[in-house]
Order: sequence, then C-alpha cells, then structure tokens
Amino acid sequence: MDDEDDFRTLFFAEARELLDGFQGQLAALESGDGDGDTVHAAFRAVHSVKGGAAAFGFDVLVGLAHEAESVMDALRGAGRAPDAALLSHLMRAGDMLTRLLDAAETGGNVPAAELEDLCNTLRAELPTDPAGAFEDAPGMAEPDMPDAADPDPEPRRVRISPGPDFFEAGHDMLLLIRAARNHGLCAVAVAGDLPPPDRFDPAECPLSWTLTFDDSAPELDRFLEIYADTAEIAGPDPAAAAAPAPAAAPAAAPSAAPAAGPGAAAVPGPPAPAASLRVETVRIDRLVNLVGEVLIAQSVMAQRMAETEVRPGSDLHRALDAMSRQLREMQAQVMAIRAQPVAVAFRRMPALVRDLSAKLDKKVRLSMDGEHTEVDATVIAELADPLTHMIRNAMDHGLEPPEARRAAGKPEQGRIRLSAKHRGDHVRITVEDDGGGIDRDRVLARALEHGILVPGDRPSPEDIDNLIFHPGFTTAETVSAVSGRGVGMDVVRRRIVSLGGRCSLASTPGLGTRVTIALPLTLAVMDGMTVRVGAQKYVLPLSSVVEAVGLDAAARPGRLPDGAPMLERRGAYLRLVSLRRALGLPGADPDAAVAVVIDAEDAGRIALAVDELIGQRQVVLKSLETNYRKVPGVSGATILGDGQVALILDLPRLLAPAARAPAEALT
Amino acid sequence: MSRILAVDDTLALRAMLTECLTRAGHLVTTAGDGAEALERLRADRPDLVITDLNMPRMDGLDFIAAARQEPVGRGLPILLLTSETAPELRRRARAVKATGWLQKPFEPKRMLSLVAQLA
Repeated sequence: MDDEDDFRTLFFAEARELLDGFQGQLAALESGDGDGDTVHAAFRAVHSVKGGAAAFGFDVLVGLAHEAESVMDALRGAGRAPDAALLSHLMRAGDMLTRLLDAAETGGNVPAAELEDLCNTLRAELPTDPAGAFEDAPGMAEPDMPDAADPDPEPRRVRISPGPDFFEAGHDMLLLIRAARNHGLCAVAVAGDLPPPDRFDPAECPLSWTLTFDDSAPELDRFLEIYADTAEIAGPDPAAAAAPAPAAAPAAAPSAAPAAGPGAAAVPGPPAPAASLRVETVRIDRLVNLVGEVLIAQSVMAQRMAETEVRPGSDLHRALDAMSRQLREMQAQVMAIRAQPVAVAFRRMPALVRDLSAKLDKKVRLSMDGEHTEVDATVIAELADPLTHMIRNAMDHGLEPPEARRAAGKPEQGRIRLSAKHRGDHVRITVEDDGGGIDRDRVLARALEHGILVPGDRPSPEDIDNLIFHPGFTTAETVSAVSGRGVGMDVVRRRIVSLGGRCSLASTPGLGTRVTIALPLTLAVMDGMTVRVGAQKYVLPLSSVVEAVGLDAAARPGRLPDGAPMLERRGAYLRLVSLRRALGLPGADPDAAVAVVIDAEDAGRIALAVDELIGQRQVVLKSLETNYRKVPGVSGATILGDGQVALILDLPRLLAPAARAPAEALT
Repeated sequence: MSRILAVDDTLALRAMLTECLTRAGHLVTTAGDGAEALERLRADRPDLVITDLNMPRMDGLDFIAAARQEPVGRGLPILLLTSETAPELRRRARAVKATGWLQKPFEPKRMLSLVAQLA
C-alpha cells in the first residue's frame, strides 16, 4: 500500500521506544529494583516488537525477538528473575534488536554470525523442554498454505457441514454462500433433514451444503480455510463430494482432523491424486438412465401421494420429500461422472482454423480458454457442429482480408477467441473475432430485399445484428465454398434452441463480433411442460414457455387481419395456433381449451392451443432417432409418470415449417 | 461497508489496520487491549472484530471468551491477528470460539477478503 512507509516509520519509532523500555527493565532487574511486573513488562516489550516486525515482514528481527520473548516467557512462567549471566545475554539481545531495527530501516547489513550465536545462547537458556508453547519461530519458517499455485481447472465441489460451533464462532451460511459468489460459485445444493421442532437445536446444524465452483474459482482453498475449524469440509475435489452425505454433522470432529488450515504445525500435504477407475461409457449411460427412471417413479409416487388422504406434513410426506432431495443429489452426482471438459469439442477447432486460414488466405490466431469447463457428454456431442459453424462464420464473414485489416490500422493477423464458462445451470460458449463487425447497412439492404423487413421498419442496431439468425439469411457477396449457400447462423440457432439453449450476438462495427451460445449442462434431463391434445400427451421445453392462458369465453380469440385466429395478451396480439393442427391430428379443438404462450424464436411469441395443461415436470430425454427415426418437429421422447410415452416438441421447427429445409443441412 | 473494531496494543498496527480498512470503505474503531475492546464492543456493536493475541490487561483469547458471553458477541466474527503458529494456541483459540486466524506478516489483501467473506 502507498502509505506503508509511514507505517514503517511509525513502527520503527515505536519499536525503539519499546526496546529502550526493555533495556530499562533489564537494568532495573540487574539493580534489584525489579519484580514480577518488571519481568512481565520486559516480556511484553519484546513481544510487541516481534508482533510489529512480523506484520512488516522483518523476519530477522522476528527471529531474535522470538528467542528473547521465549526466555522472558519462561522466566515469567517460572516466576523468577534472570541471573546475571542471563541478564547480560538479554541486554545483548536488546542491543542487537536495536541494530537490526537500524538495519531494517536503512537497509544495512545484518551481523549474521553474531546474531546466530546470540540466538543459540538464548535458546540454551530455555528450560530443557523445547517443545513449549512457542516452539515454532514464526516468520522464519512460515508454514504457509500450499497456495493454489496450480489452479485446478475443473469445476470443483465442496461439501460444508457446519459443526456445533459454526454459528457461535461467527460464521453464517448465508454470508458464506453470498461471498462464495465472488469466488466462482455456480451451484448450491443442500442435504440433510431438519429434526422435528421439539428436538430442534438452533446451535446445531443438521444440514450440509454442497457448493460447486466453476473452473476459474480463484484461491478456493484460501476462501475455505477460515471455515475449517468449525465445519467439516469435504473437497474441493469432485471425487470427495461423491461420498455419501453424513446424516448429521458429527460433534467436535475438528480435533480429529488436523486439516485445520495454514499455520497449524501439521500442514496438510498436497492432496493425493484421486484414485480413478476406468468404466465403460455404456455402464454409466445405463446408470444415468436408471436414475432417470427412478426419478420418474418418484414423481409418480408424489403424484399419487397428492391424491391420497394423507395430510401434508405427515411422516410419509416428509420421508418422500427427503427421498426426492436425495434422488436429486444422486442424479447430480451420477451426471458428474459423465461430465467431460469442453476441450473434447474444442480439440478439432485449431485444425479447422489452420485449414480455413489457408483456404481463405487470412492470417488468424485462435486462442481458447475455459476448455476445462465440464458439461455432460450429451452436450459435448451436440457442440461440434454449431462450433464448427460459428468458427467458419467468424473466419469467412467476420475477419477481413489482410489488406482491409491493414487499411483499418489493425494487425494483419486476425484473432478468434473461443471460450467456455459455467453460468448457473448453463454452459456458455463464446466465439469472438476482432473483424469488421456486422455491416448493418448491408444486412438491412438484404433484409429488405428478402422481404424480412418492409420499408418503414425501424429496427434497432441490435435487431439488425440479430437478423443474421434469420432463416436463409446470408450477406456474403458471393456464396463461398466455406460457409455454404444460405446456411447461416439460423441453423446454429435452431439447433441450440431445440436443445433448450439460447443464442445471442453482439457486434461493434469495425471492432468485431461475439456470438454466444448457452446450453444446458445436460441433455439427459429437461424441465418440461406437459400438455394433452386428444389422447396424447406432449412435452414443451419449459425454456420456451412464457405463460399459460385459459381460452374461456372471456379470452375468446379474435382474428388477425389475415384471418388467422389471435389472442390478445397485455396489449399484444399473438397468433393462436392449434397444436392439434400443427401436428396434423384429426378432430377440432374443444371449447374449454388452454393456450400456452411460447417464445418460438424466429416466429416470435405464439399462443399454442392445447386441450389440457398437465403440469410442469423434469423429464428424462430419450432419443427418438436411435429408437425410431428422426422426426421433424420432435426433438425426443420421454416416459411420463403414468407410464405413457410423450413426444418432446421442437417448437421453433414445428411452428416454422417454411424454414425447415435449411435446418436439415446441419446434420 | 462494515463496522470493524480493530484491537492491538501497538499504535503502528492500529494505524495500519485503520488506514487499510477505512480505505476499503469500512468504518473502523480501535481499542488498545481486550478490556477496552469489550467496552467498544458494547458501545459500537461492530460487524466484525480483528484482534491481536498478546495484549496488556486482557489478551485476545480472554477477550474473545468474554465477548462470546455478551449478547453482541455471540456469533460475531472475531479474527485473531497474530504471528503465533503453535498448535496449542490454535486449540485454545478454537475453544474460545475464535472465528479464525489472520497470520502475520500482515497481508492487507487477505484481511480485506476475509472481511468481505465474514461480515
């Protein structure tokens, strides 16, 4: 800090005063005027010098002051005055401390040999048991935390089980979690159960928290260290967190666990590498599926339970709640087994860039970060195509040719940055280039030409940028061999959306473009809204559902100017589409239908008429492609609580049949 | 912004703690020993306390033990700022329910991050 010199000056002045006092006290003891208080005062003086010196990192001073302090402490403890020989050693120590102080202030030399001799002399004066309370010379061999020199790049899980003293010792779980957010916290899970009110002890905490930190978690060990005395901390490593959670925090375990943190004499060594086991993927897939099935069975049970007479809050309900929490925890742990770093998907990109660089005659430097970010293997498999597409686009349309870059005052070599990061329950992948950005005039002209916009539309710059996601949109002057014809970013977006993700783009003219995709961490389960049309049930991805509206008489739909039915919602007119008709099912919508307002990306918000709304539920995705064949408009299937198979709808594709053709090109 | 009580018998350290914490936007009061710190604790109701270990009149451990008996001190984050590393002292600090250790040499960054973590 800037004013450290001022504090040093203050310290030197204060320390000299203390040492003067120390010499005075020793003189008093020598002349027989001193007593126990004098010994105590002398102890305090060297102790304060040591404390100050330690604060400023004057290790040599600390070392000698420590020896003098130890001697004084022993005298104090024994309640005796020093004899003449010891007094002379202590006086020499006082002199030496003053000289060391001068040396520290002016940067002069330390009489090392003399110092060591003095330290040894003082040490020899100590009672024979060297393992006293002050055995370690602090500052000399600072057993500092094995600092996170090599930050573990994996997302890390830490389980914290507060012990009985946790709260009394000034800790607060809420504050901990809040502070953890600044250290890359991306998920929190709670395990354990509250006892019934009559056996509830507010000082004890029967719960444990599992915190997941993302790959960038800075100094996680240091962050956790402060809690180690009063809470049991498992992790931070993925394997440790997989161990079963203890039912309750064990009482007073800390003394048994010397992993107390830094400074403790027994500093924990570097964590042993976690033992690993090779397992066939199919076995894990089977396990993931089984956990999915158990989740379904559990949701059926919960549903049946709600229909019984058992009153909420009963033991049965509580047991079921506990089971459901544990199941969700189990699911998270099982998914963690299958997690893979996105590096697997990134691996192909450098070769792609090299290849395109030659083809396009553009110099490019590709940088990647966050490649250790873990996502479920199902997501990895889906990443390769969109990534390839995004990189191609950045190289072909984003980066300018070398001469144009030179003219714009940029280095000839363009830059593309590929990065991945955990954000909440999504993984966010970004492709950035330092090219020319989106040419908004050209995009606008092209949009008018294609009838995407009509003259008189006043789109914002962001709206214009996002037009490149529009189906069939391309601004390439000539259709190049690299990016293909008419297959643009709309394909990337449709694919991402059908997986329950999102796409966005930001561009600064002349400076570059950034395309961001966010994907769920797993494609094995999904939050869905179950609806019924006729005898069949369908699942809509919850990420695209905005709200549900009853189509009773009051909300009776009207007609749009083109004759299509519409629904008014908060001043906006939404096209009302019959899901029955969109799916090509026979029959007519009943009078008492429900409309689900969905965000269908390109097609905007649409009200989807269904016969009945069944509810919101996590569903386990089954591939229709591997079990049957690819069906346009359907992204997969699931088994519902009642055992029925339901199709999961790919809404943007189902509702935009005109844009269906180019979407096939991605696969 | 937190209200912080800094306890140390050394003027230079008190000044340094005050400066460093004030600059980070905290409100700092100080005390020169444990007994004074107890008075300040009752009067100022700080959000967090940083205390030295060895002090005249009442040392850091006795201060923490006494503070934990006060309504304002129960569950209050109290950090020990010390150069001691002896396991025995650590054990005693745990016994009086100290929140944690701040090891000397003094690292302002470490202190501020702990303050942000605990208060």
